[in-house]
Amino acid sequence: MSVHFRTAAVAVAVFGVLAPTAANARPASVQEPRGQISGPRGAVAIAARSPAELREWDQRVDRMLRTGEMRLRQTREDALVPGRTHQRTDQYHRGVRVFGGDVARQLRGGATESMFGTVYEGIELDPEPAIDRNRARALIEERTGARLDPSVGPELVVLPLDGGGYALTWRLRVTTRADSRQYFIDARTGAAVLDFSDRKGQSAVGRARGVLGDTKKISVRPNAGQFVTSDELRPSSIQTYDMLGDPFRVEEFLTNRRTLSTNDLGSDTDNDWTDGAVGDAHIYAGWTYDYYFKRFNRSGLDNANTRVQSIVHPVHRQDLFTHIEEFQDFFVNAFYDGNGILLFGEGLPAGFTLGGQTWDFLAGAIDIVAHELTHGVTEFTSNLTYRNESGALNESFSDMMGTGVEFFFQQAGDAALRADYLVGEDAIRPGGLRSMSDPAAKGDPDHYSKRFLGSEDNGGVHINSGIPNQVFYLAIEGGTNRTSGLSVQGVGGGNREQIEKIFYRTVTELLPANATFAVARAASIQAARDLYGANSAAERAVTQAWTAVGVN
Amino acid sequence: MAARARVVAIAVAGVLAATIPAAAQDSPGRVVVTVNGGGQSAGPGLSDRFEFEQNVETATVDVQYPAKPTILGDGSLGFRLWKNLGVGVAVSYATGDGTAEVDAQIPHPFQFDQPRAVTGKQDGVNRTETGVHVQLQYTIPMSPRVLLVLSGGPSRLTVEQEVVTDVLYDDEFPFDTATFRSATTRRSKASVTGFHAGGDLHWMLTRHLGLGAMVRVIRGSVELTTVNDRRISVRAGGVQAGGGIRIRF
Repeated sequence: MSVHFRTAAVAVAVFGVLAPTAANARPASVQEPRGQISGPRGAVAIAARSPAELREWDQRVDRMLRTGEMRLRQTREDALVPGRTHQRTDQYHRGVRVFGGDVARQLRGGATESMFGTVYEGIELDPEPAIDRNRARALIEERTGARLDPSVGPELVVLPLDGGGYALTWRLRVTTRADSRQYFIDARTGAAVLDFSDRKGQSAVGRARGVLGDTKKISVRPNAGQFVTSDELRPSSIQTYDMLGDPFRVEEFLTNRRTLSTNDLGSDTDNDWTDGAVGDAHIYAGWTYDYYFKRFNRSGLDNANTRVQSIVHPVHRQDLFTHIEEFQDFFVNAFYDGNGILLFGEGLPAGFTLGGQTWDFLAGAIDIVAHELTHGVTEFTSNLTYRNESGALNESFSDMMGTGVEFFFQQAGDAALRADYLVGEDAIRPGGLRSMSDPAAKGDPDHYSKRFLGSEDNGGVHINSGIPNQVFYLAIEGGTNRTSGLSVQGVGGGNREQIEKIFYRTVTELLPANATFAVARAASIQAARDLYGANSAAERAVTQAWTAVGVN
Repeated sequence: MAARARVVAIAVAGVLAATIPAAAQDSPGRVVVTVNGGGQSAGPGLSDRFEFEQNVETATVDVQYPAKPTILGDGSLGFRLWKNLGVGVAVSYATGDGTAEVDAQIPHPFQFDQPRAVTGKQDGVNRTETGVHVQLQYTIPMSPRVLLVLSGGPSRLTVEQEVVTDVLYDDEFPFDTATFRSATTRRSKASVTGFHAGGDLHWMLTRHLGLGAMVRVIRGSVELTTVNDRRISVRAGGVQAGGGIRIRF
């Protein structure tokens, strides 16, 4: 385990390149190859900057390999560049490994292409320990309170000391539930020389009260005596920024004139979170990640764990009258801004309504959060053009997946925090923004013959989405389309996973950017056949549903 | 152990050298020394349950400790006071390793009420019992060579048990399962005063040296301190049986 030291060496190497006359840089002697930066306590960071320097270091490492001062630890082929091989060697002092002394050498056709590393000089230790391995293990057991497996013995290593010099030590990594630490026990005296945690990344699980007063777990990171909304447990970096009602900073961030830092993350002192918007945005983003992973084996928006950055509290509700014209979207909208950036509106102050509905923090609805994140999935796959029918398909796919996430984590029902086919009902009350079971109830078309043909809303992307939304609903639950009167035999709620997978495959794998509803029909039927076979119940349900909404 | 065996061997040799050929023993000596090896019966299995906070919920760990017979070493020194009555003191030491069975429920990091079951076994869990038994003895001559010594009295029992104090497990995203890696243990020690009763049959081969077999029943209950200073009651003792040499002088 040389993570820390290797990191330090790289830092020194870079520093050396930029500032070779730094105070701690030692002039290369005749015997010493150039291209090295000497650090404290005899550490020499290797960073050859010219062919001559590289050749000198290459010869020196070869010489060390011959004499046993270096030993080859690993050789592997380059996974990215054909014909390259990478060697890793460890430094030894009279048969004892020097902790942190290692060299990474890149070979091209047998010739050295590059070399970086750290070697330690001036080691004059007697490598014979005064206390044996078992005694060292017992001392570590006393220190940790843990009983250690006798088969995993401590390793005798030369430890470069921070204050200069070296110590012959027994090294052992001990893992407890709370931590994983490396312990170094002086091999002569038995005294503790060094111990440090090498558990990668720190995470914490807290408790958060949501917008609707429900309690959920929240995955955060300890930072400077408090906790911040940075999820360290999921493979993707999920961060939630609390903009404290400053729309101008939000605008600067969205327009690439400002970066956000750890100080901008949501924070809490006791990990018992009471800011519902911060908590829900963060938690629901994590749950959406989980849904995509478990349902579709997808790793984040781009399937490569790209970072997700959510913004909450872009304005203060009480600033409605001063900011509503300039920053309307920061109150009554949520949007995906590309590259994993999302914003969740603040809602309206108590007593205010829009469209006869109250607007709570938009992050408080799981389907809204999943809807916005799904725009990211679409962005990284079919990238459906955000206008006209392809735009409506884009919106509809987000509604489908938002509903899928809702049913994945919540029980079905009509109450708050229950899964249904309304969109955004937990934040926009009563009834949410759209209905997949009855689009017309929200003024949206449920049949192709009623599609919106105007230019508003990018050609009705939030309006005509009602048509494929109805397809999704009918394919699962079955029923009759109100306009056509045609009935659909759905797969049933217990098999909703089939329809979710069909539309996931349709949008992420099969559709082109400018897909129309007719293309979506054909592609989703193809997806149904791919996944469940021709003439399967799923294929029949999808086919009947498209027919029922007038898309043939 | 080798050193101890050497000492015993030297002592036995010395005693043998000092003895005279076997003869009728009309009057046993006033002092008797016994050295025994044997076993102690398995006591009732010990179970423990502890909890800790993990992922803002309570994790539970149930541990079953083995109920296995243990190896016994025993020795005593007795004095005949008057007629067949005497007093003595015996020291017994029983030790054995077993396997603790761990059954834990570890809360999920993302969801409430979705614990992961973690089960595993921790080998080498040791338990030792040391007893110091103060005895009132009554000797019954069965024949010129055979004596039965009945004894009973208070016992000071010290139980040292290795107890599981933590469970280490491995999990990774999506964290729906977790697997047992190992258990952290520590030794817990407690003492109590109980009682014992037993019999010891002496078959004298010579005037001073003989063989014998003993049975002793010990009762006591100690409270061991485990995780978070929690105390669990452990039944100490059991049935000890063994055999060895008898020296009278």
